[in-house]
Amino acid sequence: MSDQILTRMGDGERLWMDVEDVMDDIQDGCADAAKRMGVPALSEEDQKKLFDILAEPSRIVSVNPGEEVIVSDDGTTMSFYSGQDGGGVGTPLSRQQAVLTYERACGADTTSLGHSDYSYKPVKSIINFEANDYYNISQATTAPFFYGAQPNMGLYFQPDGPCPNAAELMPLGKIEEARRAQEQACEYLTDDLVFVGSKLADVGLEGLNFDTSGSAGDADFLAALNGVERLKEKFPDLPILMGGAGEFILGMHGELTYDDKRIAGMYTIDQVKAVEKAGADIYGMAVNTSTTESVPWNLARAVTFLKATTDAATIPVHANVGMGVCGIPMMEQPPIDCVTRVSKALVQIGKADGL
Amino acid sequence: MTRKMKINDAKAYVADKLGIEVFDLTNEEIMRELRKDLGLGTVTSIAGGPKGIRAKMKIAELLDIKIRSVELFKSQMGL
Repeated sequence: MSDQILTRMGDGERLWMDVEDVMDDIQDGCADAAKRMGVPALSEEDQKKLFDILAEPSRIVSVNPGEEVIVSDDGTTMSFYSGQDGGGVGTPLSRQQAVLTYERACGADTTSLGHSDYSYKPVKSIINFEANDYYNISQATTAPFFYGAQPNMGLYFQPDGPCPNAAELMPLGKIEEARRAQEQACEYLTDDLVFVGSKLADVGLEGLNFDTSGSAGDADFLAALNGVERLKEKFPDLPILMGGAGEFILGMHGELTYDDKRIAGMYTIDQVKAVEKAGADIYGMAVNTSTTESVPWNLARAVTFLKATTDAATIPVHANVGMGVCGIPMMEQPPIDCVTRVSKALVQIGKADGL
Repeated sequence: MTRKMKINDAKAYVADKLGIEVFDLTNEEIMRELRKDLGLGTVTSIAGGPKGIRAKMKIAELLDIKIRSVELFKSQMGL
């Protein structure tokens, strides 16, 4: 075995690391996640498995036969026809062509449709256009076909939305006013999630994705939980995938609760229990990548969070492997060496049900 | 998805319904012929072979699952 391993930093920079340094980073990454979430670090055996995956000399790696999992997606088809801002490659395809190309040429396990803004608020005013496209395309697809967008509560604050801007109120010391503004935005957002979800459910929606829930903090995450609850009451047979925005929910409000548990500060092990309680069918786990740490450190940390979360979960957990999450470097074109190593480790060691 | 099955349970369920081993779910040699014979849709396009909603109807029936788009289609067809 070589005494150096080719790997990368969290920003994608490629580097050779000594074997001892890789092992140290794995231990440190595990310890960081274990300390934050209050769970055991990965066992020595699992850390060794992780090292072996990172040390495989091939450019790309894969899971062992029989250990394959489902790959769900959040707007991947949009990346066929969109540009750089959406991680897109700019091919001149229609939405339907992109969905079918992804399904049939790329062998996708799931496909999805989403609005270019990828937030629920702007979808509300064009819902009939989206419902038409969804219905038409759903007649041609064979794999499960989701509609996805982000709750993105930030759009409900002035000047873009109706509520006083909480981020402007807080620096002024107007904490209570900021809290009231977030509570109001949370209610508007929940209503919009239910409105859009219901309209799509009426045209045979096969699955709904609340992607990156909690990006604007605890009130954003609460709106998604409440949205899931209300949609499941109306449409018990509607599958819902609810994904988080990071390993930790920001306490922008700080006092909101769900099922008598404070949302601010929820790590993934608590997030998945809240998502289960709301009635969602799949939890999407995200762990933010630190650009100043190595991929071994970031991946060890993500796998530690994931393994504890999958152990606690009664619903499937899909680990997010997009740009800058769960150990993938934070860059526009994630390197295939990292994408495949991260994927293999999350499945074989973290026991992800899907990616 | 609405049964909230974890991956290994889901694989076992599907393999049982298809009458094959779990290990063969990702075996192209087995699955291609099986999908063709059962009308579940194939990766390469076979003229006249079921795709889209027709394949989904077969999948729902075979796996004993409810697919919402299929339910809507069946109601529109009076099935």
